[in-house]
Amino acid sequence: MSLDAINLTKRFFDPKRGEFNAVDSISFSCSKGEIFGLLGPNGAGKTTTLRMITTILKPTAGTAKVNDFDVIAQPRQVRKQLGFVSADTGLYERLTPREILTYFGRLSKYPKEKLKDRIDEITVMLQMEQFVDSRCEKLSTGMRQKVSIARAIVHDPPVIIMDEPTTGLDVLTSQVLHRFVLQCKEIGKCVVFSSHIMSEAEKLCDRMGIIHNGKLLAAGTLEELRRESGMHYLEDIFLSVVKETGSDVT
Amino acid sequence: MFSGIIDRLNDICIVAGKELRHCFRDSHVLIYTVFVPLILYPVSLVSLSEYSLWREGLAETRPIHVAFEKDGLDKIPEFVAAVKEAKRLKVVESDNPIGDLQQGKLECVVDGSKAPESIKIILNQASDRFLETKVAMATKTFEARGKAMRKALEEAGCETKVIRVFDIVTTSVGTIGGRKAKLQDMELTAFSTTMVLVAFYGYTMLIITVGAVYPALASFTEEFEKRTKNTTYMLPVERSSVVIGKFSAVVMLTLLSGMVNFFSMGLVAVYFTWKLDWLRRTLALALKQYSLGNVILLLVVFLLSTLLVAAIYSLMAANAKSFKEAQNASSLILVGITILPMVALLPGWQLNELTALVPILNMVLAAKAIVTDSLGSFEMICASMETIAVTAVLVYLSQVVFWGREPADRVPEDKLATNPSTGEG
Amino acid sequence: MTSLDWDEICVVFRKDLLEVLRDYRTLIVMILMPVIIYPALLVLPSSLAHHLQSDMRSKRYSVGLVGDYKSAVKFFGETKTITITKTADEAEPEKIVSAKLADIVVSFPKDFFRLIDGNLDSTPKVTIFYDARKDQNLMALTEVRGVLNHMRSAYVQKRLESLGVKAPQRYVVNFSDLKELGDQSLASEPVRNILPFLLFTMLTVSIIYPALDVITGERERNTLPLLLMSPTDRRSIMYGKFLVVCVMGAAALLIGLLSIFIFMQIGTSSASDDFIVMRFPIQAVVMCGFVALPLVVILSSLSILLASWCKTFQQGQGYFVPFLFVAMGASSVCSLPGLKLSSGIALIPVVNIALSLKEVLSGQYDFIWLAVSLLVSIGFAVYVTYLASHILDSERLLFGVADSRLRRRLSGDFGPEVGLLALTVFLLMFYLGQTLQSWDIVVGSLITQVVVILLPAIVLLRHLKMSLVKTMSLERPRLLSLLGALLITPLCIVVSMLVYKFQTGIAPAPEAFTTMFTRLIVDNGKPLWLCLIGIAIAPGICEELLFRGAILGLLRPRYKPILLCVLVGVLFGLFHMSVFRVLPTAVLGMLLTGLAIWTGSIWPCMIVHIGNNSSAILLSKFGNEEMLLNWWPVPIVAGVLGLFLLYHSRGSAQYQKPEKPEDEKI
Repeated sequence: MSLDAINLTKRFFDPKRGEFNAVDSISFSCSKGEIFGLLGPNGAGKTTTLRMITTILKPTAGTAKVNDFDVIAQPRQVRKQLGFVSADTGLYERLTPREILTYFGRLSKYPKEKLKDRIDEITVMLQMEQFVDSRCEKLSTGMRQKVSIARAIVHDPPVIIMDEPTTGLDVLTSQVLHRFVLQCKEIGKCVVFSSHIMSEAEKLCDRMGIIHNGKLLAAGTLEELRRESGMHYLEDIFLSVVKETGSDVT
Repeated sequence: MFSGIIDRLNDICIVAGKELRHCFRDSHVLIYTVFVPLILYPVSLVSLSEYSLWREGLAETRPIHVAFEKDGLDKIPEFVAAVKEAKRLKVVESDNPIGDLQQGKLECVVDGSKAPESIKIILNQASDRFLETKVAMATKTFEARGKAMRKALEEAGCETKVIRVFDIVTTSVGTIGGRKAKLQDMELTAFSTTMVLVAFYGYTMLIITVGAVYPALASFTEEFEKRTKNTTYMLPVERSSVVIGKFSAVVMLTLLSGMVNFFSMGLVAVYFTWKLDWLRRTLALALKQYSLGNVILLLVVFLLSTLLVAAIYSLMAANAKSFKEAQNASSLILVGITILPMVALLPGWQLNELTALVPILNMVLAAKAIVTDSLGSFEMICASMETIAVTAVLVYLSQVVFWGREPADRVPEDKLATNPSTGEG
Repeated sequence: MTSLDWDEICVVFRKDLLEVLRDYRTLIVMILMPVIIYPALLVLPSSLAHHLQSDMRSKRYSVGLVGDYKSAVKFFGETKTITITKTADEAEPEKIVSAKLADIVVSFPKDFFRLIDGNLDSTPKVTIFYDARKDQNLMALTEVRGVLNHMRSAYVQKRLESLGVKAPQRYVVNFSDLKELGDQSLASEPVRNILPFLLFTMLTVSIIYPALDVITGERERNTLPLLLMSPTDRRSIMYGKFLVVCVMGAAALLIGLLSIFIFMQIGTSSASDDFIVMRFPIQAVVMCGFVALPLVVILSSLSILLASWCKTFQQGQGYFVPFLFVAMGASSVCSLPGLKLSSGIALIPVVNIALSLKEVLSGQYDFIWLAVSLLVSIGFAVYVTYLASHILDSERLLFGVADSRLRRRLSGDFGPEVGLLALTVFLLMFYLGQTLQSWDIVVGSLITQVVVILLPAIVLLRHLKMSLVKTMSLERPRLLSLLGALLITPLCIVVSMLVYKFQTGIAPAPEAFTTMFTRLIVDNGKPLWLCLIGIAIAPGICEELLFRGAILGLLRPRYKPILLCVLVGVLFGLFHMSVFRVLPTAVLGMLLTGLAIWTGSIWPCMIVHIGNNSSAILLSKFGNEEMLLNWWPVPIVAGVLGLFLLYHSRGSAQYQKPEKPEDEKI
């Protein structure tokens, strides 16, 4: 097993709602060479879940294990295993992509002598040769997203976490991203992918979990989900699952 | 035609209202316009007075040590007596005064062996109190001189009146400040003008600029940073109305901030003058000079300066692409605007046909002219018109700069595509 | 705790330095500007004024003489800057000035010279007419006064000779300094006083912007979460960034010192005033550079801490101004006469550097104390940076995780409320309290205690819907603890007295202050019982209810006892708004807070407080402070006994968490 979320819970406070569970004992797992999709509408708790896995939010209860390292007890080890991509990723505007990659590569303890080759390799892989040495402030959204991806994988992490990575991207750049995700699967990475776009999940994910109001309502392969709900399209499955439990929630 | 103007005014009011509401919900604006002025003056007053008390206490417990060279002691009896009488000075015996001076045990050695031709006072540059000692010894010399003279007169049986010879009275032809009270003293005139120029105008410009910065930055650069500019652009209002509305909001907030500042400082000043007798007397004497008309004129100058400064900051903020950039520029402007009043302090600078045409400077000089009651109505009108014209030009420029030629030119397409919100929880 | 990873620090350092250097526009505005403009502001006005002055001296003023002026013409003619304007004999002086026929008119009375020649008793009046609205005329006025004074002394000489009085010896005083005798000072006194202030202001401005850029910038650009997700030690991140800020600060220091040096050269070459000598040789520049390096380090660490607290640049800008004021205030110790590092100031960070600068420049320094202040500074800086590294992870600052007022209060964090309470009390005390007390010390103090001190605390607690009894620890106390409190009172008084004695080494109270103090407390013409009520009992009750009651009660759920003692004690000291009382009252406040926490009740504190205040009144009325110190075994024995009782009275009551707000159940 590569990634295990065990009863992850995060309580937040909202003046209108009072105390509430943004993430309510969510458990799932994702193994090597697998893509796990976390599906849910905006505000469902996807980002919070992923932030807890990436150790920058502390779970109120429960925990997660990445390659058997605990996010609470061994955060530094966990961080070594992770690469993180998201749509609103910031870049250092005044640095070039190469400098950013070197920086994160060094900080993630990638062997110093191999780092240069690794960066060259990624540059070719993501077709970034054109702009790898120009400053980030001059790059377009698509280019930036490529730099973000490159930054996430520069230290060759076994687990890659993507938080709605395609939001705001056009079809062409999304395509590049999808190809990259599938590539990761091929070389045996463990990928956790969150999205609110059903078609994307249908296309990429091996297994998926439907998350709504902080609760994991259903999880399994697409086939399993179809069987359980008796519907074909993921969008319908999603709606039926959300509706079914809707009465419990409100 | 007429209804068109009403419509536009209405638009401007709506924009200004939105900006005001926006600013008041921003805790920074509240802190700067209301909270800081209320706290700043009492705190600075308390710390200043405590600091001076501390200084006073240190100076009292550590008198300046003075030693006399022994062989000159009897040649300068008055001088020795004057030093001995002084509270802050202490005469000490020393076998090797110069050595002690070097070691910092003494602040000063007086060598009177060559008196009366020359009395040598040796000080130590390295001492903490070099200047203090120098001033104290100079005063004591002066005192000793007077004392010696009086003693000589007494010995001769004359009255000290003999050396008065005649009295000097100073009268000014003109009056200061508009009340037809004649100033008898040049010191008071100087005090009155400098006080108003430095304290009133320098300070006023400072609070105006500080008050204008944040509202201007908030209402202009936020449209850029929060990407609301394009929606604002699409509104069915005149483009200039938007900018004028924002500008009016900036002016109003600046005025408010100025008022709160004046109020708080006034309160502290009233409190402070009430406690300190000498200050009350001098202030009252200086303030008595101002007639109501001149106070109103000063307020007009304040208002005009506010308009101009608000316009300058609006232009700067409209031109900036980010908050940080605007901030960089604003500190430069702050220095520029607050230094200009100092020029007006220099003697010989007056409001005339030429200086009336220099923005900001003309307002400072107008304030100076009001204070010295030498304001010509022609120059004042010139200066006011010029200020209003410059303000109008600046507002027009901010509109041009803010909107650019075409909105598409300013925002690259790929930036529009970026969706900033994915945050949950 | 693992050791620091220098490789990581290096990586962070290199990247952030590169980033800061590439933002050249900000760099120019924020670093070069203060570094060049501040020294320019220092030197240019004075040389400009000097220039103008000499310009005005060379100007000639037209002076009209009216009346019996014949013998005065000689004196006016001798002065180069004055030209005598011919006027009609009968013309009115005011009209001459108004018509601008002359800049200034001197009017002599009839028979003036006959009078002053012959009649020794007469003092005729000479009147000067001028137009005060034109500031150029002030110079002319000075010149004319000079001439008249010269004339007077000539007549004095003449009169004395005629009277046969031997004119007393004229003191001709020559000032000289030790320079030729081997003066060790590096820079002259005005430079020594101004330079620390200049350096402090300049460096604060130059350092804060890189700090905001490398830390708040990461937050604003949303790169911080990524950095935190990398397996990097938080301390490495902070120390790397800290080093970047240090480097920028050191660069600013270097440029700043050079620019001060250059401007001083320009300034001193143009102004030849020998009363104030501006001397700042190159050796002094070098020494200053070395001594100010710890300042760079310490300011860097403080700005890093400040920047860590900020979510946005705007916020950073907001915090920056008070920060600058504090830095400027710290440098003001340099103008306090006779204060030395060895008096204990070497142990206070920031302030000790200002004083070190002054001592080094004056050439009277002690290597040991310089070393102490250097060590203190570096230790402080490292600790502050370490503190800052903990803030990086804050979820509130990272993601703005909802932190509503209710939730904060539920978790026992009443910081903002306490701040608001303290500020309200300060403002009320400033405007109302002082006024009332100077109106009538006893009655005014009584009203102040109730309205200014007690009322805000009660209003706040009512507003928070908290129980007064529980929050203020007003439950019925144990008899034993009251007795113990009574017994330790003399000891507390002695302790605060000793602290006061220690403090006089650094901040002695001036005579005016002590006389005013005794006049207020002792010689106020009120009966003793009224004094005791107004100055001892009322403060003992109300101040305790505010500090050991409301403030302690609100802070207690969140902080450890030691920190509570320090916090409440310092607040209590500051509340007295006086440099000379801040230290003793702060120590007393700490003791009282400790007592309140230990016994879990506020009543013992009231006893000690009332005892302390009444002893101040009684001792200054019927004896002196030394009495208590001379009888030192008494307080010690009583104190030990009291502590023993208190130790045993420590019961179930102590250290209760105050109850949470009632009707805000979720």
